[in-house]
Order: sequence, then structure tokens, then C-alpha cells
Amino acid sequence: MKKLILIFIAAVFIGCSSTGVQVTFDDEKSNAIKAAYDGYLANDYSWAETLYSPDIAVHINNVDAIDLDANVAGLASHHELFSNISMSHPSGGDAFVQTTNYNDDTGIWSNAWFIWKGTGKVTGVTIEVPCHVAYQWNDEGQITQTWLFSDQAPLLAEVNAAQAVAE
Amino acid sequence: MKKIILIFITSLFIGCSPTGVQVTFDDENSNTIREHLQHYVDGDIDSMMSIIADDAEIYINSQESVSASDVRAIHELEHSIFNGISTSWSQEEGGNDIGAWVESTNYPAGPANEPASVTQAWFTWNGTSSSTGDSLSIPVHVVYSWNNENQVQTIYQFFDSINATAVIEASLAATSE
Repeated sequence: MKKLILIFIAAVFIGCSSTGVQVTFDDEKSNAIKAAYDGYLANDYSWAETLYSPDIAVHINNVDAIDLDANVAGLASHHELFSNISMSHPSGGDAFVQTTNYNDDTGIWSNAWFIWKGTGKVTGVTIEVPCHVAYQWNDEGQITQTWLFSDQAPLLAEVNAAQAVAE
Repeated sequence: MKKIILIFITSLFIGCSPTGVQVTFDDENSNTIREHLQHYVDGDIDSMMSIIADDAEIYINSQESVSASDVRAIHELEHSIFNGISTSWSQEEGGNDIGAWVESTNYPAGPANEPASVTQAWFTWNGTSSSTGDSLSIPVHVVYSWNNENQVQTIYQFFDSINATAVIEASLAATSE
């Protein structure tokens, strides 16, 4: 009987990741981010105050962070500058989102990879920007910091063109 | 007796990741990438590039790849322009700087994908132009995909190039004057 218990205890540890890290894809947090992306594509940000912690730190390719309101304003500005905005996986389908529970002080992070695509309303140029976003969750189930990694140069070209037209 | 067996079988499944994805930190691939990054910081581009397959595809903020030789030239240019190149990463602001967060992930085969072995790095790239004195700190994410010969076959780099391009152009202009 004791041997049997030992065998099963061993099986529990052998069968699991030795680091205790769990990666999931179709979980509540990953799906919440995908739903937020659907909202963004519809220029709807009603998800933001629920999904984001009030004191969220949003890092847009920068070690210095902006707050929730500035982030939403920035996202909305995409729709002023671009039409036909989409976010897709390079091999097709929606953005790829996974959630990693480190089961230690690192906490829970969701990571997304996608190709952001849009057509400039001034230039008519369609740009495709590979993007990665990392989201850290707090114990209350809200996102407390995000980090965007992507090249803003193609977007800046459209911003400059729009400003030139406005002047 | 049957109940005990049932409990342990249940615990087996509850205690494990249902996706079969394995994440490791102190494994060979992760440590190789840490060395790779350190070689880059040290300006030892030959050692840095030694783990990259000759026919590697390297995607720098783009869906079109460049070659390993192109990337070698880019890194050599960076070291000719910037002093004090370093990478930094800490869990929280002001926390212990470990240089870069590096982890490796093995994805099992799925209905629509082959098994994959990747190592990922997150860090802030730091450097100061030796000619203009401009300092840069740029968040960077890199995904390394391994082939069966334990070489990096594909690299995906994500970062904002705007400030780096501006400083590089200003530095080249300053040195040509």
C-alpha cells in the first residue's frame, strides 16, 4: 500500500513541469484579452476599466509608462488615422494569446503576438506591423502592467502625413 | 483502495498543465541565449553569431527576413556607434537587475502545429552614442526558434526603431563631418 502511494506521488511530480509553470491558451485571461482586441477593432473601449487596474502602467515601447486614459486615447487615435484595422496571426487566424502562471513572485502573465494591419487614411498606404504585448495580472484578476514591443516607425509616417495635411 | 487510486489519478491531472507545454529557465537553450546576449554586450559578434544557423531567417520588426550576415553587420555597426551597450531587466522598478528575462518553451504537436522549441528574451537595450552622447533605453523582445541541430533557425525581434534610427543617423552624420 505504501509503495502504491509512493508510485502515485512520484507520477504526480514526473508528469508535471519541473518548474511548476503552467501555460494555457483558451483560458479566462487569454480570452479576456482576445475580447478586448475585438473591442479595440470596433473602436469600443468599454472593456478597459474592467480589464485594467485603475493604476495600470502601460509601457508603449518605453521604460516610462502612460496611464489608462492615455492608452485608450492612443488606441482610439489609430481609428482616426487608419481604416481596415486588423490583428491576425502571421499564419492566419486571430492574434495568438497564451497565459503563463509562474506560480511564484513573477505572477501571471499573458503574452500576445500578432500582425497589426491598417490602411492610412491620408496616404492610402497599408502597413503591417509585427507586435508583441505582455500583460501582468494582479490578484484581483485585473491587468496591472502591459508592455508593447513593436516598431512605431510605420505609424509615425502616417501621423506625419496627417499633420502635414492638417497644417 | 479503489478510492485511493482514483484520488491519486485525479491529482495527477489536476496538478499538471493540461496543454503539455513545458517552460524552463535553467536549461541548455536558455543558458545558451544568456551567453549569446552577453557576447553581444561584450562586442564579441563572432561568438554571438556562432549559435545562429547559416541559413537562419531573422525577422526584425518585419514579415520579411534578413540573413545572419545582415544581422552581423547591424550588430557590428551598433558597437561602432554606441558605448556602454548593456541589457537590463528587473522584476520591479529598482529591483535586482538580471540583464534579461530568458525562458525556453517546448510546445507539443497540435492539430495545426508541429512541435516547437523556442527560447524567448525580454530586456531593455541600453547604449550611448560615442559621437553625440545621446543615450537610448529600448525595450526589446526576441524569440529564438531552435532546429534539430541545436542551432537557432529563426529569430523574431520586436522593438521600436524610431529613436535608435534617429541617434544612429545623427551619429553617422557627426562622424562624417
